[in-house]
Amino acid sequence: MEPVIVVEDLVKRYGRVVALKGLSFKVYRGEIYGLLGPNGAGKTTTIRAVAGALKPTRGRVLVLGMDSWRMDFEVRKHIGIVPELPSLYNELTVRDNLYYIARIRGLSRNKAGERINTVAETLALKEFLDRRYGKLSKGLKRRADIAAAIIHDPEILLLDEPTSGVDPLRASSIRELVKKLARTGKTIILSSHYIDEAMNLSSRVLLLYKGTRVVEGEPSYLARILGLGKEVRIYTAEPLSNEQAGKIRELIESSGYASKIRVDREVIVAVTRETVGFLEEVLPRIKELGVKVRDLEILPPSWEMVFKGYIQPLEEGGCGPCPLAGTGV
Amino acid sequence: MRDGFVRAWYIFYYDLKKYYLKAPVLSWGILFPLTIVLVLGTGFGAYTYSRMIPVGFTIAVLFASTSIVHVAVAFEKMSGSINQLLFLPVKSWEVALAKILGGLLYGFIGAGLAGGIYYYLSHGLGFIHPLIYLYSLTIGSIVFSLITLLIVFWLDPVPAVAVLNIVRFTMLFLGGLLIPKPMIPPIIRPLVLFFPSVYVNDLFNYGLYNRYDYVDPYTSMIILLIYLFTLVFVAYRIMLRILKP
Repeated sequence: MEPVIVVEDLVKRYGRVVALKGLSFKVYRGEIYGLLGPNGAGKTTTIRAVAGALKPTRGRVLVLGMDSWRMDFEVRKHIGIVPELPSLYNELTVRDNLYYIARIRGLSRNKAGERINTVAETLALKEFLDRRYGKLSKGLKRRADIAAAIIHDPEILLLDEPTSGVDPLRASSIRELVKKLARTGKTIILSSHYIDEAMNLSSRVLLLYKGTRVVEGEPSYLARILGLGKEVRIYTAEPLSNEQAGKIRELIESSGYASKIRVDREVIVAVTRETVGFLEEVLPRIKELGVKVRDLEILPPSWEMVFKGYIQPLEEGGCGPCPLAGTGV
Repeated sequence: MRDGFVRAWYIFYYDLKKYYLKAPVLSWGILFPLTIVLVLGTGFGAYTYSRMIPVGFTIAVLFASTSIVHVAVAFEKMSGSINQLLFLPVKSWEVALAKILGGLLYGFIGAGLAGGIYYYLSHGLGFIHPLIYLYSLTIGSIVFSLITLLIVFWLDPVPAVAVLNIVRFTMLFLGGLLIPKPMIPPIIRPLVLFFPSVYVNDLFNYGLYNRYDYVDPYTSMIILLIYLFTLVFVAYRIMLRILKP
């Protein structure tokens, strides 16, 4: 399959700061490609480079075969962007904002009117069309931003932190919307520092750190190659004494089943790659210590763990599973 | 090209919708120059009436055109909505043209209001060379708009206000406007010629009353054109730093 977006050896320097250090990746038609990384990882710079809004210091970005910097005008006709911060005009109503963008994008008056109604319907914005953008809540502003990004029905959508600063309920509805848009065949690049969001929405994820590619792949692959286990949570019926907590910690450590252990007053948390063995061997011995088990939970590897597995060792100066080996970071 | 002009028109049109009643535009762009125009028109200051009127026109055009351009860019930088322009299929010259159109319109509004006041006060408006007057009004508005574009794209919004006011007030006092030529020390006079307001004012003088203070009208016209092309080049380069970093 032909890639829709090709990023080749992209370097972006701002004075002495190197925001992107030779980034390369490809995005294929119809996929949601997640850019995940902490603040300063280079996600927004990457989005801007794809949109042709900044000049690469080295390398290039091809969008539908066109160089995004040299042919930025043409490229922008095919993409819709939700910038990191709400950026429509506070002084105008949502309808005026959408009409303005539609006309700038070359839609005729009639077509602009039609599209405003269609996207307002899709995004449940109809009743807010005549409200001033500056008076909307953050969630509604984000929906209006998305409406502006899709007003011309683009093939490619670049979503930069679309749920940032939005309350969980609204964020969830925005995620549903992103899925809905993906089902219509749009190619989407989604930048997020919310691990769950990027991992759950994306078909592939690129983990970025300080402008460098850490690892790329399907979300499940990222978890698998890290060898992360499941989280077993044992809830006790009664609070544990300090003595019991100490003994339990010792017991789990000596069993060799768990990579991480946390024993609180009423919950024992262990991360293990061998859930069955842990439950068959360790749980009975915990009970033998007089602990009454109230409940038990087995959680799949959290994306928080995936993130910590890659990024945290790097931030602490180590190299975890060493995905950056040889990259000079 | 036609599409480019259509896009510039829409940016300009919506700028007016967004900003034309903003407080800084009303206070600096309309009320302040009108106060000066009235003060000059009712006989205060060092000039005779016919000397005051071109100065009033120049001040009205200077403040009206610079205020709208300043607000139309600074507000977008502050709110982040300038990002929309970064991501839309819009060329930088279309954005520049839209902003200059705003400055031009406000320049005409400023001059229209000043003209109305002077007409009402019955000081008489000669209009001996109406085309020269129109040339001065048009090129003057564009040059002042370009100076503002350069400043607001170059600097952050808050320092931009300070620098813009320094430029405007320096022109007011040293740019051949409030201080008449005979009162300017000869040693400073060459500096006065650096300000475009001198040539705009001289052309208003010539257009209305067939006289000038500093240079003959044709030289003024050429100098203003040089200003225009130089500022287009410099302001455009600075705009590109923001719009295509």
